[in-house]
Amino acid sequence: MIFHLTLPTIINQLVNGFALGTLLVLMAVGLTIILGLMRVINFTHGVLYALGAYTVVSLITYTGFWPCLIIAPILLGLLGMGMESALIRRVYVRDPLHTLLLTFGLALMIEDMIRMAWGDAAYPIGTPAILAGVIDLKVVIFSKYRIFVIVFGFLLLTALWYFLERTHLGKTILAGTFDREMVVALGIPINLLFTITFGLGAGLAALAGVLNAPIQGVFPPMGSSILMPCFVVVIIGGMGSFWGAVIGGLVVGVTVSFTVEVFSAASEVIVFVLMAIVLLVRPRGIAGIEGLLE
Amino acid sequence: MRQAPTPPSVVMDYLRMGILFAVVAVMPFFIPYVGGYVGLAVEMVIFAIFAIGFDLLLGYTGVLSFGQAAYFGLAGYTMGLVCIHSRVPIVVGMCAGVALGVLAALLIGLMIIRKTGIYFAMLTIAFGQMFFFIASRWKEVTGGEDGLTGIPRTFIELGPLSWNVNNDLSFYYFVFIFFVAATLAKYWLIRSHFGQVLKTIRENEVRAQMVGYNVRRYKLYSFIIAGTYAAVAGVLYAMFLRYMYPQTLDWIRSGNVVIMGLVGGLGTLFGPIVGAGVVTYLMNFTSYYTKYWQFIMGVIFVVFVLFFPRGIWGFVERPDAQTRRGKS
Amino acid sequence: MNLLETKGLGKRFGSVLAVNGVDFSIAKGELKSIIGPNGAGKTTFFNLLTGMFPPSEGQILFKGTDITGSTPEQVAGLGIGRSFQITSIFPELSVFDNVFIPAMRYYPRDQARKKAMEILEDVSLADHAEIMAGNLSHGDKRHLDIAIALTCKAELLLLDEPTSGMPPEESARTTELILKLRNEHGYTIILIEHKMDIVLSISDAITVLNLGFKLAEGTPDEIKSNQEVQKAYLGGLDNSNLHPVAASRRPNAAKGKELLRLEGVNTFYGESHVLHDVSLTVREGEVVTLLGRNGAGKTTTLRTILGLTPPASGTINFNGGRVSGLSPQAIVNQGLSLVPAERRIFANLTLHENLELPFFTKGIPAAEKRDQINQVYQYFPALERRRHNKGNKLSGGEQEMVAIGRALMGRVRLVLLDEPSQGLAPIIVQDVAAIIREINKRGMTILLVEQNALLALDLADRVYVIDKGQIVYEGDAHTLLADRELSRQLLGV
Repeated sequence: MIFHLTLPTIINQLVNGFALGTLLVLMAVGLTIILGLMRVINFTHGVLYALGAYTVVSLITYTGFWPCLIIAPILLGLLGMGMESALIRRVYVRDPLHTLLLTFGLALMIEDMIRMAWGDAAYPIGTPAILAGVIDLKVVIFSKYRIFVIVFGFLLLTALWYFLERTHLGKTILAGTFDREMVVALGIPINLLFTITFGLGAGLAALAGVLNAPIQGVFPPMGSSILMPCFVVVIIGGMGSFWGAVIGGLVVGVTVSFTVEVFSAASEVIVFVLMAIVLLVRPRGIAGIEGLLE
Repeated sequence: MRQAPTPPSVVMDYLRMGILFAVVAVMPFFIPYVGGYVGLAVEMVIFAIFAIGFDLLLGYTGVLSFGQAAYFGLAGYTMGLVCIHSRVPIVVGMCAGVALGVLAALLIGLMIIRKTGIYFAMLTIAFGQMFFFIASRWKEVTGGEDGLTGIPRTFIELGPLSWNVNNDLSFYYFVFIFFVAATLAKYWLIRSHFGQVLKTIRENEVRAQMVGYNVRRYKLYSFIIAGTYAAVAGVLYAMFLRYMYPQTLDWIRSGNVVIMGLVGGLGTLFGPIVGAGVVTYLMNFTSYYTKYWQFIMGVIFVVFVLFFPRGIWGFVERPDAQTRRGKS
Repeated sequence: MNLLETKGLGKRFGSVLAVNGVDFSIAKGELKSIIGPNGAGKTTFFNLLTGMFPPSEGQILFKGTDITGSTPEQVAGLGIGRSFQITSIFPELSVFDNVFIPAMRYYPRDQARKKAMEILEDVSLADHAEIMAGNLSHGDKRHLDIAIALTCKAELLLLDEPTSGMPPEESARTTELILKLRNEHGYTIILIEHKMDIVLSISDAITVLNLGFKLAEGTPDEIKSNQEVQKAYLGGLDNSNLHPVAASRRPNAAKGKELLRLEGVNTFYGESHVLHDVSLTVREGEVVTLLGRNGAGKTTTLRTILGLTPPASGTINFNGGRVSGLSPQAIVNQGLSLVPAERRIFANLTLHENLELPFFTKGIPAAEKRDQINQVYQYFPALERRRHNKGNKLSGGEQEMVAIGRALMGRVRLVLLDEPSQGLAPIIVQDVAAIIREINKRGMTILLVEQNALLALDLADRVYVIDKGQIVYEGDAHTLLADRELSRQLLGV
């Protein structure tokens, strides 16, 4: 390990870290709310992310990059809602292990379906023209696109926060993560709430996939490779907690970035080391709901 | 006073195991008629060993680990490395592989056994992934993504005996010995006091503790035993392929053994064996016709979880059917 | 020397003292019962004795040795066996294995087999030895639960509501079993029970817990005549409110049209038969109160009406239409709402947001919503000041008020109120009672479940008393209020 970290490098890695972190946050928030409200461990989150990225692959020649930011979440949100109401709902009454296994099986299927539809090759996606290139401040150089990801992600999270904390539907979802049965006792249609929440999570995952496409390109196992880090973020941040997912995502993003810089061989393992530490020392995570799935 | 119920007849059990062993013993000869080959039969039996141990943990103790592949891969790599870099007999290399796998299971188990449910499962994934990344990044030692080639499969030497297992058919019977041992060991375990206690833990962990059993300790032992089975399977797999690669360690591979258990039927002696056989066979079969075997696996999985959660063998017999009569 | 003794035993959960300085002792061969109203700390006391968690203060002595802080396995090893209020057996193992496997911890295999059969004979389950435990009837399962507790070479048995969910014949069999265990086998027994007839008839001594501390102790006769104990069970009213009951009756109370009717309702929790042929009616504009001791089935009745625990048989009609078998969502939309005993305010929302939440799909115009919420602030002026505080920052009284306010949102015609006075200081209880009166005066129909019987009888027009899941009394509220002897019989000790 070499600690030749100059200021420009540090800032650069912070930017990269925050960009990666933003993507993780977008996915982890969906994952953690699905977990908190529905007690479902959603292994399909990864492939929904991948499908978002593949939407870009299919549409970019017709519509360019920007419309994908809207089309992909909507399409995949609908797919998510369909999956939830047709399939996942059937195993709610059983051992939680079964939802885990079911979503795992679905993820396996969908990943290969991606290969069937788009082939095995990786697709590089060009950065949209306006955002190509760097911002050169002499002292430090930033990738324009990554700054965009951070800013966009921040705005989106603000909108999401607003939705959850300020709209009626959002507040109902939050109430459900706290006391699901009371929400039922108030006459609120809980099944509808579940479907909407799952769709929301799916849409967020798809969006993260779109955003990531110009950074890492698009390749079939991209879903599996991001899924574990997302679970790590959820665990670090605390299951069921919005802010936990935000903080956890940024922490993990920055940690990974710095590990890439300092000891790149460990950059994939570091998330798991982090997770193991958190689970062994403070299993509730930063802000988790106690007793969830213990 | 009434007599205590007699334990189910061992004769029947040994008879059924005998039939199983007989079928497995002749499998290399009939498998070509169903589109297979000896090498496939070897794989089926190796994964059966893996699944049998896994089932002890999930089907009998009720503990889900999504990281058993870690011990499978670690043992395989260790055996490979020991045999490649030193002149020790293969048997010694095998023992080294298994020993390391068991040690890893022991250490990790000690660390994580306090946690339960999803936390425990995630920790098993975490450790599995740590091993996976070490295997794929530590090029100098493990060969990285290219894998570890040149694992020897030549002579098994024990005292005066020397057995050439180079060809697949003889290796098959070498593996068969382990399979018989693995099945018998599981059978004795589940009929022993230890196995009985595991079942009570699966059924009602709190009450098991309240009647006086140290539940944590039993879970740890079960975890280590499952790791041992995984390690043995891993060593045999390394020898079979003469090659070890990182994907043997990742969580999707761990997921495969979960599928095998579920499809076959958890909590039964024959279930995991049937499951491992069916899944391995199908994976091989479908990859002839399509490269999308993962899709087929996923479909099978989804169908079983939705409609046949008791698995194939679960249809034939209730998990651990020591009870004969029906409702009261 | 006492077999078991506790000195100043206490357990704190956060800021709540669930068990508070309890001194208890039992000598070999005795049969003592622990009773007390809801939330008294009885099960927590058992949990402390069996080592489920360490006490916050005090000591536990078994045969003179300090065993405080032992783990559950160690406690079992000492010879203390425990049965559970919610049946805890090994469902997919045979009845025999349920007892045999635990016994193997203490006996070598062959002896364990014999011992297991002996235990099964004692609880009359020997015939069922080979049956899968999950297939037993509810009563048999409860007996199996007890049988498992006997396997640890037990000298002391802790039995937690052994007759819960049992009809009278089975309760009688269980009572016989308990006596047999003590008389013929010499077990020392501590019993938690709610069924007063059983407790009074078989106990050598009774300990009464209330709100975590020991209220009284003595022989059954002593406890029966203990005023403090009766008061704990019946509740009480500040004298100023025991004004002539007639004055608080509303003139239009008597003959409104029928709004809610239950007929022959049976409800099960799993196989526990909790409600037996329950029938009751509530007329428009009335306050009807449902009283009973804890475990009698009061909350279950409310949950059944709302569809949270659907009835197994019988009908429930509301406002002319059948609601039994509908989802809670549909039932609530007919005009029913619930104020749960634990309040269940959403801690992650503010007070105001909690009030707004029920409007999810009710399709009510914004102006009407605002009016309804403002109405609640008028009822409870103290809440308006706190409207932006998160739910978990509210006091118990405030939470109760919010829960009541929340239940009024929408087009509600009948409010199901579950134990509004629980855990509240007397002065807050007065405020809440006044509001309940006010709400009713403005036309809201109320079905009130309470443990504080005197409070409820003062508020109500009519009363039903439920005991062991059956309606045992129906009548005019102030008649029962005036008849102290009858009240004591039905509701006290």
